Amino acid sequence: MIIDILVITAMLTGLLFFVATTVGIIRFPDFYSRVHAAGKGDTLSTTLFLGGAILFILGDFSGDTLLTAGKLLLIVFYIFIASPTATHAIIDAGYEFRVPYWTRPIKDNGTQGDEENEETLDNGFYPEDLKG
Amino acid sequence: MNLEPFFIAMAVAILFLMLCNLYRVVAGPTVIDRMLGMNVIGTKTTVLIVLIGIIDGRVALFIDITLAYALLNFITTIAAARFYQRLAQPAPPEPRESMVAPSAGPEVKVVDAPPAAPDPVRKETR
Repeated sequence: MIIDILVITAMLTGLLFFVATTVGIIRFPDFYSRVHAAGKGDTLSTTLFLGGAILFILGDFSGDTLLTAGKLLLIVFYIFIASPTATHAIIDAGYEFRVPYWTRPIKDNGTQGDEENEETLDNGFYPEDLKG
Repeated sequence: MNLEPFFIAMAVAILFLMLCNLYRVVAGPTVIDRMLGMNVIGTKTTVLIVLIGIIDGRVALFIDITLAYALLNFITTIAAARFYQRLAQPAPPEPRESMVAPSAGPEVKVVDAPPAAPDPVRKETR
Protein backbone atom coordinates (compact mmCIF):
# COMPACT_ATOMS: atom_id res chain seq x y z
CA MET A 1 0.00 0.00 0.00
CA ILE A 2 2.75 2.42 0.98
CA ILE A 3 4.75 1.26 -2.01
CA ASP A 4 1.80 1.88 -4.33
CA ILE A 5 1.43 5.42 -3.06
CA LEU A 6 5.16 6.00 -3.58
CA VAL A 7 4.94 4.61 -7.12
CA ILE A 8 1.99 6.83 -7.99
CA THR A 9 3.69 9.90 -6.50
CA ALA A 10 6.95 9.31 -8.36
CA MET A 11 5.25 8.70 -11.69
CA LEU A 12 2.93 11.68 -11.39
CA THR A 13 5.89 13.92 -10.55
CA GLY A 14 7.73 12.53 -13.56
CA LEU A 15 4.72 13.22 -15.73
CA LEU A 16 4.63 16.80 -14.44
CA PHE A 17 8.27 17.30 -15.38
CA PHE A 18 7.67 15.77 -18.78
CA VAL A 19 4.74 18.11 -19.38
CA ALA A 20 7.03 21.03 -18.49
CA THR A 21 9.67 19.70 -20.89
CA THR A 22 7.15 19.39 -23.71
CA VAL A 23 5.76 22.87 -23.13
CA GLY A 24 9.30 24.25 -23.10
CA ILE A 25 10.28 22.48 -26.29
CA ILE A 26 7.18 23.65 -28.11
CA ARG A 27 6.90 27.18 -26.75
CA PHE A 28 10.42 28.52 -26.23
CA PRO A 29 11.55 30.92 -28.92
CA ASP A 30 15.01 29.73 -29.92
CA PHE A 31 17.21 26.68 -29.95
CA TYR A 32 19.25 27.33 -26.83
CA SER A 33 16.30 27.78 -24.51
CA ARG A 34 14.74 24.65 -25.96
CA VAL A 35 17.86 22.72 -25.07
CA HIS A 36 17.66 24.21 -21.60
CA ALA A 37 14.14 22.87 -21.21
CA ALA A 38 14.89 19.48 -22.70
CA GLY A 39 18.17 18.76 -20.94
CA LYS A 40 16.96 19.07 -17.39
CA GLY A 41 13.33 18.04 -17.47
CA ASP A 42 13.92 15.02 -19.65
CA THR A 43 16.60 13.56 -17.41
CA LEU A 44 14.71 14.10 -14.17
CA SER A 45 11.37 12.84 -15.46
CA THR A 46 12.94 9.69 -16.88
CA THR A 47 14.69 9.07 -13.56
CA LEU A 48 11.44 9.51 -11.65
CA PHE A 49 9.49 7.22 -13.96
CA LEU A 50 12.06 4.46 -13.78
CA GLY A 51 12.37 4.94 -10.02
CA GLY A 52 8.66 4.34 -9.71
CA ALA A 53 9.01 1.24 -11.86
CA ILE A 54 11.82 -0.03 -9.60
CA LEU A 55 9.66 0.47 -6.52
CA PHE A 56 6.77 -1.33 -8.15
CA ILE A 57 8.91 -4.27 -9.21
CA LEU A 58 10.44 -4.58 -5.75
CA GLY A 59 6.92 -4.78 -4.32
CA ASP A 60 6.97 -8.57 -4.48
CA PHE A 61 10.49 -9.32 -3.36
CA SER A 62 12.38 -12.30 -4.77
CA GLY A 63 15.60 -13.06 -6.58
CA ASP A 64 14.23 -12.46 -10.05
CA THR A 65 12.69 -9.13 -9.21
CA LEU A 66 15.92 -8.12 -7.52
CA LEU A 67 17.81 -8.86 -10.74
CA THR A 68 15.28 -6.91 -12.78
CA ALA A 69 15.44 -3.97 -10.38
CA GLY A 70 19.22 -4.04 -10.60
CA LYS A 71 19.06 -3.82 -14.38
CA LEU A 72 16.60 -0.95 -14.15
CA LEU A 73 18.91 0.80 -11.74
CA LEU A 74 21.70 0.42 -14.29
CA ILE A 75 19.46 2.01 -16.92
CA VAL A 76 18.69 4.89 -14.56
CA PHE A 77 22.40 5.41 -13.91
CA TYR A 78 23.17 5.26 -17.62
CA ILE A 79 20.47 7.75 -18.57
CA PHE A 80 21.54 10.05 -15.76
CA ILE A 81 24.98 10.24 -17.37
CA ALA A 82 24.15 9.90 -21.06
CA SER A 83 21.27 12.32 -21.39
CA PRO A 84 23.21 15.44 -20.28
CA THR A 85 26.10 14.28 -22.45
CA ALA A 86 23.86 14.05 -25.50
CA THR A 87 22.38 17.44 -24.72
CA HIS A 88 25.86 18.90 -24.43
CA ALA A 89 26.86 17.42 -27.78
CA ILE A 90 23.75 18.84 -29.44
CA ILE A 91 24.22 22.32 -28.02
CA ASP A 92 27.93 22.26 -28.89
CA ALA A 93 27.09 21.46 -32.51
CA GLY A 94 24.48 24.19 -32.61
CA TYR A 95 26.84 26.71 -31.09
CA GLU A 96 29.57 25.96 -33.59
CA PHE A 97 27.05 26.26 -36.40
CA ARG A 98 26.07 29.73 -35.13
CA VAL A 99 22.42 28.93 -34.78
CA PRO A 100 20.76 32.31 -34.25
CA TYR A 101 19.61 33.25 -30.79
CA TRP A 102 16.53 35.13 -29.83
CA THR A 103 16.58 38.72 -28.67
CA ARG A 104 13.70 40.99 -27.91
CA PRO A 105 13.07 43.06 -31.02
CA ILE A 106 13.91 46.73 -31.03
CA LYS A 107 11.30 49.35 -31.81
CA ASP A 108 11.79 52.18 -34.27
CA ASN A 109 12.41 54.74 -31.52
CA GLY A 110 15.22 52.69 -30.07
CA THR A 111 13.49 51.20 -27.05
CA GLN A 112 12.99 47.55 -26.59
CA GLY A 113 9.79 46.11 -27.94
CA ASP A 114 7.09 44.24 -26.14
CA GLU A 115 5.07 41.17 -26.82
CA GLU A 116 2.85 42.87 -29.37
CA ASN A 117 5.42 43.49 -32.07
CA GLU A 118 7.43 40.42 -31.30
CA GLU A 119 7.04 39.13 -34.83
CA THR A 120 7.99 42.37 -36.56
CA LEU A 121 11.75 41.99 -36.48
CA ASP A 122 13.42 38.75 -37.37
CA ASN A 123 16.90 38.85 -36.00
CA GLY A 124 17.59 35.27 -36.99
CA PHE A 125 19.68 34.48 -39.93
CA TYR A 126 18.90 31.04 -41.16
CA PRO A 127 21.34 29.98 -43.84
CA GLU A 128 19.65 28.39 -46.76
CA ASP A 129 21.16 24.99 -46.22
CA LEU A 130 19.89 24.98 -42.65
CA LYS A 131 16.29 25.04 -43.69
CA GLY A 132 16.17 21.41 -44.64
CA MET B 1 -4.31 -2.18 -5.04
CA ASN B 2 -4.35 -2.90 -8.74
CA LEU B 3 -2.07 -0.46 -10.46
CA GLU B 4 -2.55 -1.65 -14.03
CA PRO B 5 -5.05 1.07 -15.10
CA PHE B 6 -2.67 3.66 -13.68
CA PHE B 7 0.23 2.31 -15.73
CA ILE B 8 -1.92 2.24 -18.85
CA ALA B 9 -2.91 5.86 -18.24
CA MET B 10 0.75 6.81 -17.74
CA ALA B 11 1.72 5.08 -20.99
CA VAL B 12 -1.04 6.86 -22.90
CA ALA B 13 -0.03 10.22 -21.39
CA ILE B 14 3.62 9.68 -22.32
CA LEU B 15 2.60 8.71 -25.84
CA PHE B 16 0.50 11.85 -26.19
CA LEU B 17 3.33 14.08 -24.97
CA MET B 18 5.73 12.35 -27.35
CA LEU B 19 3.36 13.24 -30.17
CA CYS B 20 3.44 16.84 -28.94
CA ASN B 21 7.24 16.71 -29.10
CA LEU B 22 6.93 15.42 -32.64
CA TYR B 23 5.62 18.86 -33.60
CA ARG B 24 9.09 20.30 -32.93
CA VAL B 25 10.65 17.57 -35.06
CA VAL B 26 8.34 18.32 -37.97
CA ALA B 27 8.31 22.11 -37.70
CA GLY B 28 12.01 22.73 -37.26
CA PRO B 29 13.05 25.45 -37.98
CA THR B 30 16.64 24.12 -37.97
CA VAL B 31 18.08 20.65 -38.21
CA ILE B 32 19.41 20.80 -34.69
CA ASP B 33 15.90 21.40 -33.31
CA ARG B 34 14.78 18.22 -34.98
CA MET B 35 17.68 16.32 -33.43
CA LEU B 36 16.77 17.67 -30.01
CA GLY B 37 13.16 16.58 -30.38
CA MET B 38 14.19 13.12 -31.48
CA ASN B 39 16.54 12.82 -28.50
CA VAL B 40 13.72 13.58 -26.08
CA ILE B 41 11.37 11.18 -27.85
CA GLY B 42 13.97 8.41 -27.77
CA THR B 43 14.64 8.90 -24.07
CA LYS B 44 10.94 8.68 -23.34
CA THR B 45 10.63 5.55 -25.46
CA THR B 46 12.76 3.69 -22.90
CA VAL B 47 10.23 4.62 -20.20
CA LEU B 48 7.41 3.54 -22.48
CA ILE B 49 8.97 0.13 -23.09
CA VAL B 50 9.39 -0.42 -19.34
CA LEU B 51 5.75 0.50 -18.75
CA ILE B 52 4.63 -1.85 -21.52
CA GLY B 53 6.66 -4.61 -19.89
CA ILE B 54 5.03 -3.98 -16.51
CA ILE B 55 1.57 -4.00 -18.08
CA ASP B 56 2.40 -7.16 -20.00
CA GLY B 57 3.76 -8.86 -16.90
CA ARG B 58 7.12 -9.80 -18.42
CA VAL B 59 9.42 -7.05 -17.20
CA ALA B 60 12.54 -9.21 -17.27
CA LEU B 61 12.17 -9.66 -21.01
CA PHE B 62 11.56 -6.00 -21.78
CA ILE B 63 14.42 -4.67 -19.64
CA ASP B 64 17.04 -5.89 -22.10
CA ILE B 65 15.22 -4.23 -24.98
CA THR B 66 15.14 -1.03 -22.96
CA LEU B 67 18.86 -1.16 -22.27
CA ALA B 68 19.65 -1.70 -25.94
CA TYR B 69 17.33 1.12 -26.94
CA ALA B 70 18.90 3.56 -24.50
CA LEU B 71 22.39 2.76 -25.77
CA LEU B 72 21.31 3.08 -29.40
CA ASN B 73 19.53 6.37 -28.81
CA PHE B 74 22.60 7.88 -27.18
CA ILE B 75 24.91 6.75 -29.97
CA THR B 76 22.52 8.04 -32.62
CA THR B 77 22.32 11.45 -31.00
CA ILE B 78 26.08 11.74 -30.59
CA ALA B 79 26.71 10.69 -34.19
CA ALA B 80 24.17 13.13 -35.62
CA ALA B 81 25.48 15.98 -33.47
CA ARG B 82 29.08 15.30 -34.49
CA PHE B 83 28.09 15.17 -38.16
CA TYR B 84 26.29 18.47 -37.84
CA GLN B 85 29.22 20.01 -35.99
CA ARG B 86 31.63 18.85 -38.68
CA LEU B 87 29.63 20.83 -41.24
CA ALA B 88 30.42 24.03 -39.39
CA GLN B 89 34.16 23.54 -39.47
CA PRO B 90 36.26 24.76 -42.41
CA ALA B 91 37.05 22.37 -45.20
CA PRO B 92 40.37 20.54 -45.03
CA PRO B 93 43.13 22.01 -47.21
CA GLU B 94 44.12 20.63 -50.55
CA PRO B 95 46.75 17.88 -50.33
CA ARG B 96 50.29 19.17 -50.55
CA GLU B 97 53.25 17.23 -51.67
CA SER B 98 54.44 16.46 -48.18
CA MET B 99 51.02 15.11 -47.29
CA VAL B 100 50.54 12.70 -50.19
CA ALA B 101 51.89 9.19 -49.92
CA PRO B 102 54.04 7.97 -52.84
CA SER B 103 51.67 5.06 -53.44
CA ALA B 104 48.75 7.38 -54.00
CA GLY B 105 49.45 7.65 -57.71
CA PRO B 106 49.62 10.64 -60.01
CA GLU B 107 45.89 11.34 -60.07
CA VAL B 108 45.99 13.12 -56.72
CA LYS B 109 46.05 16.81 -57.43
CA VAL B 110 48.96 18.38 -55.59
CA VAL B 111 49.12 22.09 -55.08
CA ASP B 112 51.95 24.08 -53.68
CA ALA B 113 50.07 26.19 -51.24
CA PRO B 114 46.55 25.57 -50.05
CA PRO B 115 44.12 28.25 -51.12
CA ALA B 116 42.22 30.07 -48.47
CA ALA B 117 39.41 27.73 -47.59
CA PRO B 118 36.04 29.31 -48.30
CA ASP B 119 33.91 29.44 -45.21
CA PRO B 120 30.30 29.50 -46.33
CA VAL B 121 28.76 29.19 -42.92
CA ARG B 122 30.43 31.59 -40.59
CA LYS B 123 29.11 34.85 -41.89
CA GLU B 124 28.64 37.87 -39.78
CA THR B 125 25.12 37.89 -38.53
CA ARG B 126 24.79 41.64 -38.45
